[in-house]
Amino acid sequence: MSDLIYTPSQTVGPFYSTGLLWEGCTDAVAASDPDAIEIRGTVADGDGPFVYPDGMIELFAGDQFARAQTDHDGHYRVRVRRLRAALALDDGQAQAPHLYVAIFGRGLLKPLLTRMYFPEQEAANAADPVLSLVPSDRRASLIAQPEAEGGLRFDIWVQGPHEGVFFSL
Amino acid sequence: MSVGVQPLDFSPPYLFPDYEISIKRAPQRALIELPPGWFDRAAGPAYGRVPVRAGDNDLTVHGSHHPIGQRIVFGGRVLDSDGRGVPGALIELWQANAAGRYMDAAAPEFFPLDPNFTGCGRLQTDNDGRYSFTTIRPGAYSAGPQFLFRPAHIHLSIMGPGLASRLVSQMYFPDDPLQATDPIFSSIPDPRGRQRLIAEFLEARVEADGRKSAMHYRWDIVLRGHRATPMDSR
Repeated sequence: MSDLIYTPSQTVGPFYSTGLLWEGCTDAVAASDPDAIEIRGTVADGDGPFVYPDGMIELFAGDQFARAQTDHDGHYRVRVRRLRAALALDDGQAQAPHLYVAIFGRGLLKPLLTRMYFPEQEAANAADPVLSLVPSDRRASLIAQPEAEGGLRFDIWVQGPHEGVFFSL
Repeated sequence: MSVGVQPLDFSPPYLFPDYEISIKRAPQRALIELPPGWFDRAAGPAYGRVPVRAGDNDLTVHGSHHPIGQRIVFGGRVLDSDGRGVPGALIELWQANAAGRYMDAAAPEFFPLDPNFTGCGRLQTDNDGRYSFTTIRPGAYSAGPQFLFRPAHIHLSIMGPGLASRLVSQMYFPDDPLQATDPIFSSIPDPRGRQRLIAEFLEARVEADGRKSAMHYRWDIVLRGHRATPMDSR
């Protein structure tokens, strides 16, 4: 077993859509679900948006999994179920409700992993053990923002002055 | 937990200047490190909604005729950090056709489409973590004058049970002179890691039904993560 070598990561490249997108892949729940919520945002690098076809985003938690390609403006849209209940770490510590977010794309030799927290969970977010490991001036970038027309906004800059928070696995 | 030796890790860096676009897409701040056990046992994406149909692992039967090109069969096992097969892992595959053309609408039109080849497939590994795809050897591909031809490669996305086991990678072929100058392949910092991405040629197998004759390759995939219960039978 000592000669086992992890299969190294490689970029998803720009031409993944035929292999990785399927009918309905952006919607983890039906629009009729009472807790359904749309999440929109932009994925951007040090110069500007990840324009089509360069970016792919996955959001997931529990039984929910959504996948989207960034469009000509670097925007994405997914539909998920709003999480309300606390989650638990492997060691039993309570965590605020959140989705994992993975960013793939041309130029990314391996994915970037982050989390999206819900803005209405102020008390739970303040006590969250993972958010507490993030320098306080960077925590806000992990919390989605309510949109005037409903839904949430979650932008991700992979580089630059607004660079997001990414976790090591 | 397992007492086995951890597999060797030759992940590429985020920043690899020869792969020029990584310069503006690699994060510049350090990743946040979490205590052991916080993320490495978390569940990965629930991929049950991804449609997988019987026959999705044979890319040569999706058109009305056989696609043009050299037929190949490649497969192996999907293994975890302990070297055990990962049952039920989802593999999604996409690739260029024999001429080096992706069917993706965003791909440049320098090389011809093959109406009988979509270049995508899916499967789930069996109870021992085994998998097999039948397809066409992809041609080398260039995105335009400012880019080199890329070596022949097949893209694969793999999802196992854990957050740690999520992998997107590319499989390459033996003895391809384009690998040495490819910035994406070369981003892997150790020759043992690069070798891990090259399929092993097994045989040129002649079948009684000549329409099944093909070049056979083996490619095992080793994912991060362990089974939740290490005492599981193999």
